Amino acid sequence: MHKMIFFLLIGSLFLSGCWDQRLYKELSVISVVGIDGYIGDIRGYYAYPSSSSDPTKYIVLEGVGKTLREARINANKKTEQTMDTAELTTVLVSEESAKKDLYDLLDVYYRSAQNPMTAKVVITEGSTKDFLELKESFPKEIGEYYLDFIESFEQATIYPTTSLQLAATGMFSEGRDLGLPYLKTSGEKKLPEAEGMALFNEKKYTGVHLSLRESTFATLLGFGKSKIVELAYLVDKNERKTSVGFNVINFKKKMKITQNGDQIKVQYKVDMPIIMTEYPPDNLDRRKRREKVEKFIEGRVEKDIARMFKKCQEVSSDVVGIGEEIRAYHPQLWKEGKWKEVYKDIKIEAKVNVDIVRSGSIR
Amino acid sequence: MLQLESMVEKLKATFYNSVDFVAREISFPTDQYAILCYYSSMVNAKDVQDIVNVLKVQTTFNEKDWDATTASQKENYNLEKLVEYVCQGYTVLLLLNSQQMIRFTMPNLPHRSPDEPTNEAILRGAHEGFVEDIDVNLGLIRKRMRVPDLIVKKITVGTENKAEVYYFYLARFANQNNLADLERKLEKMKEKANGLYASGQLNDFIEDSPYSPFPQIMNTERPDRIFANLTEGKIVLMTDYSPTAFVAPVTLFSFYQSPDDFNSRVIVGSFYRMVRVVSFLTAVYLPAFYIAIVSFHYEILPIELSKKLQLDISEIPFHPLVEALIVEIIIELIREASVRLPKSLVQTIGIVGGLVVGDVIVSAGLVSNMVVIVVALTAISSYVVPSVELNTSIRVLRFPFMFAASLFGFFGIVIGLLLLNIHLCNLNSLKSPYFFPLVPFTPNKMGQILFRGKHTKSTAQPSSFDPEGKKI
Repeated sequence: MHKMIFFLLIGSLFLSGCWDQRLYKELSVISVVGIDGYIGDIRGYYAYPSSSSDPTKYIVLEGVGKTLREARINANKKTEQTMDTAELTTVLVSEESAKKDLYDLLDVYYRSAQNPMTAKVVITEGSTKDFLELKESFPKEIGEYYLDFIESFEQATIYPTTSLQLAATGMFSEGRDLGLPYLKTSGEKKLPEAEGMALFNEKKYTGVHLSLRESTFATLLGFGKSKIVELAYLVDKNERKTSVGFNVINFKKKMKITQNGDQIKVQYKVDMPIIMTEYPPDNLDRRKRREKVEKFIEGRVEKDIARMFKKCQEVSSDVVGIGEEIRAYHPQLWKEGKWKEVYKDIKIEAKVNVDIVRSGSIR
Repeated sequence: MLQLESMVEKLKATFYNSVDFVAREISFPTDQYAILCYYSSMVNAKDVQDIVNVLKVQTTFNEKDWDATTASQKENYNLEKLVEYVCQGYTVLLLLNSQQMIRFTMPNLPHRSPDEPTNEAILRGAHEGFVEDIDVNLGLIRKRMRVPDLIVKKITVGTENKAEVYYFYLARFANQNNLADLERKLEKMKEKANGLYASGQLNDFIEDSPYSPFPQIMNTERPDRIFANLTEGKIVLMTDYSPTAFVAPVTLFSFYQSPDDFNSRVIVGSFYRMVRVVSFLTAVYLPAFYIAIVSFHYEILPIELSKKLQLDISEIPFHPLVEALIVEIIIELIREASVRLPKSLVQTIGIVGGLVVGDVIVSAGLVSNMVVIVVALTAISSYVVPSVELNTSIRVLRFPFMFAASLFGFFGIVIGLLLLNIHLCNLNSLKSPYFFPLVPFTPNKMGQILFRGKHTKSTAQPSSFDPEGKKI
């Protein structure tokens, strides 16, 4: 009898594991979530694969509710399995929703330990529904598609690395604002296309986005070079058009912050060795020609950087993170809680020094 | 003086009138009459005749020690002794007048030629293996080891059906503690052991923990492997009529070394040694890892894999553990069947098992593709271990891990790993640490687990087992 009780007690210890068991085969794995609307009247779209053959088929569930959690519960009623977001790769948030408050919408993803913090956050032009119900079918699953889509831009130094985790940091940081990938649909088939970088002011989307080129410089100045940086300009002189394409080998920036009365002045000095990838007139071995091209690129890059900062300052969105620098190294200039107003009026200058180190052609 | 007629009758009666027992009177110069007795099944009659002829010739010259040849020995008559000798396959010449007997050492027992053992094949190097005869086996070792300090000792164990256990070692390298422990155990075995017919029985007497899943004695049928182990200071045990040699003390990593390592080049040999050690991990943990993922931690799957896997397993009616067990048991059945079946039928099993079961079981929806891959990979990696007994241990070992994984996920695997490590650290082989060089930790010996060094470099004999580092 005692032996029996002993075995039952020991045996019951093993049952505790079943409590935590989540059988993969009983779940529908949501890989992309789309959010439309705002608290009060919210629409959530949940995509999960339904067949593994090529092209991958997937189902988009739609849930309407007052809160995001309610929308998800309602969507769950439409599927025979349990929805699970442990494999979530991308959260799409519509422009209109993000303008109100992004954190309120994402809060639900920070609470559960099962949500991956590495999921990408993307702002979409118009309803997210268009981004989920693609007209064209891809061999990739939709979650995979968006993940690769954003990651390829991150590697090309167009966007900084984004994730739910970093988005939260960005929304709460005082010295740096959040910049998220901004997508739109284009063409007949309404396929997603990268449009630029959505500028945030604290937790709200400002409604302004940087173009892809401006976004590249914001990323370069704020986060540094990723794998590659490819740029191309057009020389339009004397009715003759010449293309100038190059890859940035290295991007070294020096920052100098000076104060003149109330005016804060930020000077960037950038050293940028490049390798030419496109230049039909060639003869870059001649110093004069080379210097001419270098000068041209310097001018255009400086102009782009200036335009980027102007856009940022207008909506007081500090995606480059000048605030962080000032807070850390120039605390006398840092006014706690008032950085946004100060940021609007600082003077930012960039001096770029381009150096063609490789002409790219064999001679 | 013994009576000739009555003596022949008496001898035949002693051997229960067995038809293959021969007791024949012959004329002999010194004694007038002598009786020659032997088992005709164990002796070549022509050889016996030759020896008898030689003896006859020697007596006519009346030499003082006419009875001495390389294969004969004279002693006083004793019936008990006579019975024992004849049973062992000797021929005994009984001299009636002088009450003495001469024993000829020329048992002619059937044995195989020293072919390569099929379960321990190597690609290059010597293709010889032990046979069911200790003299041939010792010859195979002596052929390689041309030193006088290879000491061979014999101990007779058992009370009724006696068996002879030989143990040998190199005096220069063998550790005295190991030797003392072995001798103590053999001494204990003397009375207890009776009728050793399976070599594994010897194992149980020598091992420190017979209930451990890990073999603490390595057995092999390869003389070259024995040679390598002797030079590392290990002790080898053999029974008289078994081709299996036992090596002790060993470490876990000795089982992962093969003579092939030194038959191939340094880089190649090291690479395959590494592959073998890594195979331990896949063989034990892979099915458990799969079960843990699909029932607890699927978020670690890459998104590219998750879609296919989820859709595959959502159509399987079983819990992942049951699913894995089905395939595991099928593979074990196929293995067992192919061992027992005659060689000509093994191919049939391969086709039925591999093609029919393996393919159809997936399309029938009993198990998913992934679990077949996982179990097949596990089976393959458990077979790369060059030692048969560790191979079987590993295959048994993965079942507890599968259960632990299905109960507690990764947490269960870690608990199991912890218990396994504690056990390995505790284990001894002839009172020497089994998990060496990891425990006790010896960094400069660690390389030997994964790499095979250049052989010319080691001036002293290489040792995979030397906890105190005392050896030169």
